Amino acid sequence: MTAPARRLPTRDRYLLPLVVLAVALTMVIGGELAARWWMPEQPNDSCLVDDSFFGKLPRKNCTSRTKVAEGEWTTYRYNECGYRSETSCAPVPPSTIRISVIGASTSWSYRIPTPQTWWHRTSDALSKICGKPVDVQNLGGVYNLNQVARTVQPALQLKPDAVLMIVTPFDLQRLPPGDFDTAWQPEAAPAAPKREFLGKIKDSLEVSRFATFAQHMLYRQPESYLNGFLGSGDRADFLRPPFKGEWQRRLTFADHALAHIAAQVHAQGVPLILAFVPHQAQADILTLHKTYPGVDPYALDRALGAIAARHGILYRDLTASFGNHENAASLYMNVDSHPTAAANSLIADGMVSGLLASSLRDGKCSAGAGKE
Amino acid sequence: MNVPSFPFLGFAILGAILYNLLPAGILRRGLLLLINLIFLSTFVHGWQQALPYAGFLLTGYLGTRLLMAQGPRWRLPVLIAVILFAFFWLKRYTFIPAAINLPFLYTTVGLSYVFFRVLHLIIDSGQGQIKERISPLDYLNYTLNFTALVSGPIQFYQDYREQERNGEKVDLFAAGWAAERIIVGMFKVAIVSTLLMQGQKAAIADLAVASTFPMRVLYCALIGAIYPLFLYANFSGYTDFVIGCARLFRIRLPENFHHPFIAENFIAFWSRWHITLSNWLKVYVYTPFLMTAMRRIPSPAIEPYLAVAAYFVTFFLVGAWHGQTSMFLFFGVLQGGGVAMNKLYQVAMIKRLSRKGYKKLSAEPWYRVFCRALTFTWFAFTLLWFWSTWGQLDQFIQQAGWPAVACGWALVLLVAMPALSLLRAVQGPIEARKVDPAAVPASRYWRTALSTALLIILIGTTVLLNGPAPDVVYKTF
Repeated sequence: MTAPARRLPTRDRYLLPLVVLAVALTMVIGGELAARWWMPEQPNDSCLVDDSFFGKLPRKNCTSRTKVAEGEWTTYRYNECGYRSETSCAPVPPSTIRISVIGASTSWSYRIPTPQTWWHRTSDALSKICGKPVDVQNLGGVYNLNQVARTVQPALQLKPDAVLMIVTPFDLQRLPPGDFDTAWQPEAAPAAPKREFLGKIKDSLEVSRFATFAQHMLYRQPESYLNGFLGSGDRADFLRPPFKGEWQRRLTFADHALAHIAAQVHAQGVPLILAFVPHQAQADILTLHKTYPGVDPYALDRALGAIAARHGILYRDLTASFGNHENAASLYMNVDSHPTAAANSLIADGMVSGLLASSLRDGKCSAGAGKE
Repeated sequence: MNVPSFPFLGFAILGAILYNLLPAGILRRGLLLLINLIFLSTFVHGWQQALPYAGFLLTGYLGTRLLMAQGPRWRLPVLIAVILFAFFWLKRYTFIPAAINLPFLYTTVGLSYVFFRVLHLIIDSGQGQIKERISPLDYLNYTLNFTALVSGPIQFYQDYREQERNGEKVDLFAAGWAAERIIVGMFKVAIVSTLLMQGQKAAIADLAVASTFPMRVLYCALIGAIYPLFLYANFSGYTDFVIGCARLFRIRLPENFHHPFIAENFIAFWSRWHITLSNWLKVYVYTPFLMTAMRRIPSPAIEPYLAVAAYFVTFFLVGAWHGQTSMFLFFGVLQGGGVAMNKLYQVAMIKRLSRKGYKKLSAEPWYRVFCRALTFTWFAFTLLWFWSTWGQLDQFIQQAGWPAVACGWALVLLVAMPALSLLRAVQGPIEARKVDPAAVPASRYWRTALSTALLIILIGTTVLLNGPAPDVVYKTF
């Protein structure tokens, strides 16, 4: 590179800015194309059909293939009852342990290939430990707690030996207004408001795969993720006890919903095991071994643990096991915020220990009887 | 304020706009002093921290003024000794008794480079090389030049004053040139050197768990070979950046690097690597040492060996200057030893083959390829004492075993041969100015496109990483 020795020709005053613009555009478009190639997405599950109560319900005997940008290609198989399962929902022989799964998207193992889901791993592990076949019927979905409560009876009709459920901070955050209500009906979605110019830019950034890629890379760093998340208001307030009004309401909602669910499950003599899967922010705080003023990564876990204890639910808090992971950020699809396959493995460990701590109906596989 | 970084760049651009708006003269120089002091103040926390620095500068200035006046000859060696002592004392070299160290924290940012400038002023003033009176304003602007304060390059005063008085106007062409250097420099530091450092760290971690001999050889080779590339990207990137920034102030700082890895011997390597430091030492150590020795031992037969000794002393100092520990002393021995052995080899080969025969051998393509790779490998090897510790070296040997270490270096040498030949094929024509300025790689359209792309990647990465700017290795020296 030599020092300048001549003047810039007049035409270059126009050409050079054009070169800059052309390169910038090429990189933006190229970046978007590369990101779409690198992180393909198929958000629509062709098996899901509209339902007036659940929003979407799977069709029976249907198979679909979907992919979230950060995740793997996932094949969903729905059996003749419309449950996500590799097996039939027909009655099983007495020697088979049957497990019903209820809950929201994390219970459902949203966008996780079946062999890597927590419930499939739980089934495999339990089968080895108990020396018996284990059948899992997953009735989960992208539901709120009012909707989850509606899946309890169908789950119990399967005559399960245990009912498993997962709750996450996100599940509480997206609860409908008011309190838990067995007669709840979803409101019709309001018409989308007309977006202003800045809103349209924001929308287009949200659909930009390159923006997703950039966010994904950013959020993989615990410090960066926490810097943004801890300042995000209500979303992060579950980390700041004592809980403010809205989070207090959500906990009351959860208390009532879990009381209702537990009462039904226990009435059948079936153990209900509830696992708490932490938010990435909780896991990141624990990984960093840092303290943030007013922030308690275990605040929500403790509150839910107390609720579970009141209702005789066997509770498994997985926050510490997520926080002890050497790379906690890898346990999450960082933009989508659902747990990854690696996280499903940790959830399975927690569920297996929960199941072994419980007495499966008819003592089919108590911890003492297992061949670990 | 980190150099290079976007905050520094913003500060420099703002300063340059004001600087260029002012008329040449006292106002402009006054503004430059203000900018220099503001930059220095970002490293100072409390006035007490600045006192030793100020004392060093004041000693240098008074010494320079004293030497410009008529007086006895002993003043020069005494003042050189005073400046040397003050530098070693403030930098807390291990041979200075700890009992006399200052009992508080103080700033030493860029002190090594200020030391070279001050010593140069002292020597040149004492030898009558600088005739004009140096005003306090010019002295401070020269020694504290904010663009080159942290890690150089080391500019001679005469050159600086010429630039400052008659510096070329910053027109669009010059601004574009400066922008290109700045972007390339930041890219090298923030992206290339960061990636290389991560690569070396990964190789170190992998060596600890490598189970097979070939993998241990590979990791040894990577650990050794990556560091010189990292250091080059890091330090030459910094230099590109500050040269670009200084150009906005109408100052052309001297170049510090000139395609060092295509050098075909270790002596030539040091005329391409950290050029301003080796030049400084050649002027103020090598030449005086050799001249004095030749005067005292006037024998043509001994003369080449005197040059060998002068080389050793000069490049031992180049190495030893980098730090205060035994690692850096050994690094100096390897630098001085490498250059001295190189000179001895040249002397021996000329004796054996005659000057013409040696020249012919040196022109052989296979010989050049081998020498280029050997130079790189030797430099990479010496750098082990630059970036690691005795304990770490022992650990590497424990993990890899001597045979894998030896094979690793052999692998570096083997791979360097084709790799550096390829580099030479690309850089050679550019160096020889054989590239048509209108040809694609040299055209300003291509360079503008490339700089834009680098800038977008740089900004994107900076935003994504959301962390502090990467450090420049030489900041600590």
